[in-house]
Amino acid sequence: MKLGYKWIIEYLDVKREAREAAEALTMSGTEVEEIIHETIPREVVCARLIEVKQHPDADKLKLCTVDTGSETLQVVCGAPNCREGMLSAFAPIGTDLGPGMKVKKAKIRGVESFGVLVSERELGLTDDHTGIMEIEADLKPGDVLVDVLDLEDWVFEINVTPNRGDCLSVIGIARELSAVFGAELKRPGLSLAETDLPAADHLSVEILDTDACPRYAARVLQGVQIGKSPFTMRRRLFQAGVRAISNVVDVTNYVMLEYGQPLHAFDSSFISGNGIVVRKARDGEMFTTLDSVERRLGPDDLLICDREKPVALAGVMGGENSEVMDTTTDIVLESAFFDPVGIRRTSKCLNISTEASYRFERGIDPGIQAEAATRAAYLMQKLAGARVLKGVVDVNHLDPKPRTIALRKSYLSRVLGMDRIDGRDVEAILTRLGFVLAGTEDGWTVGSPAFRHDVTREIDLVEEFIRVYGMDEVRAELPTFRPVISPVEKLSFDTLRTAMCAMGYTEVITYSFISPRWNGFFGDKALELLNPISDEMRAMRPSLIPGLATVASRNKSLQRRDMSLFEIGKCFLPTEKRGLPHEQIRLGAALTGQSEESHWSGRARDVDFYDMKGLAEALLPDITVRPSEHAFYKPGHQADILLGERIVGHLGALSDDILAVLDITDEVYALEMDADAVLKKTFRGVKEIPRFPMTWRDLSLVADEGVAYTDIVRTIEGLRIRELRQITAVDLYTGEKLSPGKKGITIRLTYQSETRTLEDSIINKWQDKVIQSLSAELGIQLRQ
Amino acid sequence: MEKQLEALKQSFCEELDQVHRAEDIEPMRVKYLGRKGALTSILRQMGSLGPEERPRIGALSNKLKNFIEQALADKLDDLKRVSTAGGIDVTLPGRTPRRGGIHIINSVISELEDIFMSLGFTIASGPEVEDDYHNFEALNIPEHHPARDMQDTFYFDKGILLRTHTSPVQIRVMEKTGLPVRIIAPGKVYRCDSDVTHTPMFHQIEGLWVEEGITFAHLKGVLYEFIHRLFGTDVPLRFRPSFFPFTEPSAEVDIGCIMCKGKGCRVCGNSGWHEILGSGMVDPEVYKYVDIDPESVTGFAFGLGIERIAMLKYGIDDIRLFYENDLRFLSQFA
Ligand SMILES: [Zn+2]
Repeated sequence: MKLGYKWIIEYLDVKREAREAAEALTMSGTEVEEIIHETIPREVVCARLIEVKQHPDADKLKLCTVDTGSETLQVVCGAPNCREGMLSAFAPIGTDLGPGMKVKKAKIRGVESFGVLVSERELGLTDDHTGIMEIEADLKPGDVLVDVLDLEDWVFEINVTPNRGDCLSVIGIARELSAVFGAELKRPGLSLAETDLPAADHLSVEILDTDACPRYAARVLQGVQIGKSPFTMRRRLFQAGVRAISNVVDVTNYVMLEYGQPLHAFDSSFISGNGIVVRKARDGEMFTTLDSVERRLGPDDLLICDREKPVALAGVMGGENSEVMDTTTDIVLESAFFDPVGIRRTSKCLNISTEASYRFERGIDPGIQAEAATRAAYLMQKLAGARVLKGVVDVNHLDPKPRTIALRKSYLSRVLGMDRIDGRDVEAILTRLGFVLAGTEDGWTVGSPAFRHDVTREIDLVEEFIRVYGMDEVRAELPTFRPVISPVEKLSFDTLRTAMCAMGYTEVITYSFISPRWNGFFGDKALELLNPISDEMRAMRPSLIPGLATVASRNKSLQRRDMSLFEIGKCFLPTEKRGLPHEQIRLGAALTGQSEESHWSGRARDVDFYDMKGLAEALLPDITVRPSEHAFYKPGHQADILLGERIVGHLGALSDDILAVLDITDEVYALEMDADAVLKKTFRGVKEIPRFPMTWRDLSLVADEGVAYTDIVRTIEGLRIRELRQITAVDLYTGEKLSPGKKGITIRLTYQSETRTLEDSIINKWQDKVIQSLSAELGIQLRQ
Repeated sequence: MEKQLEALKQSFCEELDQVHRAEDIEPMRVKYLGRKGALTSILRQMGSLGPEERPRIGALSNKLKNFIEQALADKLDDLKRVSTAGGIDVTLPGRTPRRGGIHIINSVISELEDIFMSLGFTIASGPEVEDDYHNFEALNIPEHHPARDMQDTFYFDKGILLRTHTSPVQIRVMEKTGLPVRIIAPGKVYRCDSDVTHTPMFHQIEGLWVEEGITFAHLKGVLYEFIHRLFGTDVPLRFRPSFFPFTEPSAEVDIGCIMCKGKGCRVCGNSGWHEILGSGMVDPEVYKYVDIDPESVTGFAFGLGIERIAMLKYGIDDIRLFYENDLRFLSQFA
């Protein structure tokens, strides 16, 4: 909400700098986000147009002889309202009216102009650019406008929290300042002259749904003359971001900004039967609001109707059929209280938010409907010559009983932790905020004003006190506590991250939502958002691989060739049952490019499957792998990762389809593992370090290509030679020297005993057993 | 004499070729150019020359002097570059193991966890896909309340959504564990918002301390301690009253701008302050949802945005950089 500071302090008996007031508001919970300083150049003076003649060479231009107080000048002017005798604003040569708007001596169509007559918009005062500024006040030529019209002002951009509907008004903000500064709050003028005719004779009000509309007040005005509002009113509306329309409409907006009470003026010639009926809309009922949009309503929406038809969408927007126009003379002025939830629902459903609905949603003061109507009637009388009929037609079902709350001094200290709270401070602050206090043994009984519907509990009063008293006054104090031990989970994730970094992997964080086009690769239908930022971010990721692959692709496009990436994050797996999906924390990694930076020694090579597998083995030495058939990996270049019989992840080369989609030409290897499995590395206790020497024997074997390395290992392990400590592959050979369909593999067997030094003869015996068994089980021969 | 100069040059060159150590250069200079050096002794004979010869020989000897100086300097450079003849070129680049790095957001989270653990907090977590009850209702944010406008929510269907803050962890922890509760809960949160200052996914840390005797003064104490450890003890703080449906009284905490020391600059939007976290005393209404008697305990809660902290700490001005995963950005924190 934006408001001019001069307007606010009109209701306040206080002299403070705008900046100081803004700071005070901010530090008491009503944040002033920005202060915009407004002023006009001092060179701009009041001037009288002594003579106005036609420009000899231009139909639309006039030659004005202008009395600026100090001299008489010739000025060329194109404004339609320029006429002899009027007072306007004059900017002499050299006046700086803003960026690129310095007034220069000019020749316009052959006639010299010594300055310009300016509009309100050119001075930044309103958005009125229909003509040069009309000065209504009794001023002399040469008067410095910024001084005599008191034009310097500060517009506050105020962020009102959703609980403080009462602060969406000039009086509300002034009340806050009165509490902080201890100043008196003043009320707007209401001294109205009513005719003898009772308004009730001209208007009846009937409320059919008193829950949705507990109060409807109205005034009847006759004989208004629609015109332009005075300058000050238009400027204040402009500062508040409200467009000036006509005196009658402007008054409704002006009083809404003053009191926070939305008002609506109907042209009463369109109200048939002199009656207002407030009722719920019928399902599918159509209604055209004054923005000329025809809207389809439902049974939750509330309508203001006359005896025949709807005339307004209650609390949101008036109807096109009863709008105040230039020809309007008689008016029905509505000042009602609508149920906040109902207005919010309508506003959400129809997707219209107005100044009125915004205030109703946040709850307006239920006690000011009549006063606001009277204030508006008073202003319409003053500004549009309205005859105001006697009385307010006021149908009121609101419960006027004030709420009382017990406030204990002990509770104040218990919540705030302040040793000493002076009861007089509590009383002064709450009283200025509009509460009524009566002392009790341990504190007060506090009567809450109607406009503070947010204050219903003791804790609310604690907040009221401390926000005005000042949170900075509370002394900071550390509570006593016992130190805690780092939870295992934090330690393991930190360790895992550090380990990944040490192995050269860079951590990335990608969005949890991905494009649904990945669904094809990851099988199960992913959980999808109803309102994603874009379709590309609709599906909750079932895997970390799409994110990692996308990062690889993006960085490739930024000329990065070699990458080792990892991410630790949640994947979202829909469950059979309705409700929350299963969230699984996983570790994902991706590798592409070369294993090392290009080096002069020429040892860099392209990364491959075994680099990726090596990562899995480094993280979890006990894993095994089994060939797999995932759609996102290349056939034959992928495997599931197993811990015992449980699948804990997978790895492989990304499929050609994925590479094509991401526009990657190099191979990308990826891995994904359940983080739980990675972290649950158990420590099995210390083993004794063997004292006897190890012996190595290499065997060069020739096997069918179909024989997997793991078959060889399993066959040898099947012999259960206790002294055989380790089997490793040390060379792999395929080529011309072997017959087709064969491969050469060299394995190294490591023998060691815990009790003795092994003799050659015994090792030779074991070696023979190994060779025999490999030959019998797998058809493997020794290489010649 | 011309011949003498020629011979001197030749012997110098031969001798220089035999020099392999940097420390042998200086004796060479003394030997050839010093006051008692070879060149000087030749020049002493200049007096014997005729006046027409002198300028020519003078020029020649000058040229030789320059040559020797230059040759010695070049040789010294060479010797410094390759230290031992017959050894390896130690100046060639080594094979550097690839360096990885923890994402800046996670390293900031880890740093904050360490601070809060040292202040007595343990770490809790909760689901990122939440239900309406835990994300809103139990936090005293009823449906059709304007407070829901404060957060743009991503929805699945029927009351299932992406959590908009880490606050539901407060409810989940209080539902599950007994009192006292002293937890922080770091994690991802989501809002339907995307521009220079917003990403649809970001990180928060939630804090909750519920125990008999906990006061607003304690909230201030813990947050002062935290900020001072993170940004230094000379950083000013202010507690600005605000509104959160699940705390009362509520306060936003601002820290003095680190860039301009509170004078106002572009980074802090001329205010001299940066809003960094929301906090307050747990609203009694919240205790009712988790079956705790509001008269028996008090507590405080706070929530802060990790990205904001990281941006302030490292002077990053575009939040989107964190999730573009441009390795040229990420590697700066490795
Ligand atoms: Zn600053």
